[in-house]
Amino acid sequence: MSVNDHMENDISLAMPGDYFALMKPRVMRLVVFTAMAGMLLAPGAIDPFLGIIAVLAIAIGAGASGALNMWYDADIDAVMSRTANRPIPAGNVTANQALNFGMIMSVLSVMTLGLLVNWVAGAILAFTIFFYAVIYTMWLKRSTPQNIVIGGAAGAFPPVLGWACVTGSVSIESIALFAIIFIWTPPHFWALALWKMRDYDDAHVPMMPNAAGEKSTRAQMLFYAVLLAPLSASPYLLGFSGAFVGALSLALGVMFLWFTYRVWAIAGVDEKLTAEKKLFGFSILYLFAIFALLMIDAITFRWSGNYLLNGFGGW
Amino acid sequence: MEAGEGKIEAGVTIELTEAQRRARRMRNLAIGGCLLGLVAIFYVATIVKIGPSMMRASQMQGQSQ
Repeated sequence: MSVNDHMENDISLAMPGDYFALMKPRVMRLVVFTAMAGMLLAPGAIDPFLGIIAVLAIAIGAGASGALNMWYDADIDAVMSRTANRPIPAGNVTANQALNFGMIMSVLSVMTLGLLVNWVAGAILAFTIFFYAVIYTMWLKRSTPQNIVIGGAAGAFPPVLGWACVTGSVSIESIALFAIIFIWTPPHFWALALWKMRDYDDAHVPMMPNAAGEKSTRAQMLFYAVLLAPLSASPYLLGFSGAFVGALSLALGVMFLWFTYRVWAIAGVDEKLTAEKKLFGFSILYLFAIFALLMIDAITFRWSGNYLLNGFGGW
Repeated sequence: MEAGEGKIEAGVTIELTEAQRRARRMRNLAIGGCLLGLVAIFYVATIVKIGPSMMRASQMQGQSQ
């Protein structure tokens, strides 16, 4: 005799892939990329095996904070088209399962990084998870239009983490890498928010475009883009990348400013919001390109003792 | 709530559907794989971290004899 005859059993149908989806794999990819950049750019070296463990622990920690975010935000994810098919609103994983998974992965990743690499990095990872899950998700996201400005710090920590894995410390150079991602986040995110505005309105999330208006949002985006242009070249100015990569980074920063200027100047007259979509696309390319260039420069320096094209044509 | 309500009678079992059984098996395999991976990571990391100093210590011992 089976109890199925009497009642529905609620044994989970969740597959491992559903849990993996809780970790926001696309965000994780960016985290891995920028953390590796921090490691390569830091002075000194880490044992390659420990380096791989460190990247893995950082990725899992970032994924854990993603799972905690999905646990807390399941109600608003369900009403936004962009997030409606996430594992919890889709019914593949329950909110409690996501919470447990996020907590266990948080503890394991911080413990692994602390014990096997160093506790400065472990502490920064713990703080990053706390910042994203508690400060951003639970507090800022639903209460202020500055949510992603301050919350952007969570996404900016990975290069600081990578740097701390190698040196056991935080320095002005790693803070410069932090600043690039931190200042990049508002125009990147608001470009998306401008054409997904109705979504955020439906979910009662005070994103800048629906809280302060589109005009103000576009002006603020321009402000951050103006800051970002010179900041793009800060690794060169601080002496941890070469002049060639410095010049390319500055060019990327100026292009970012141009795309943002277009968003500001057109000011939504184009109903298709082409300028916003172009800026969003370019912003992803920008961040990838800047960190890829810095990594290539660091590898070249380690390999040859000179930065990319250094001493070439009087650079 | 009456006493005994919601309790399963002796000899009565929950029968999983094929999909539930398959999902549970996949989750178990994933958890097992992760735990094995964690053990391997800590094992190799221990060797990487303390191996060199143990080698040095045994070399010094060899020289002093």
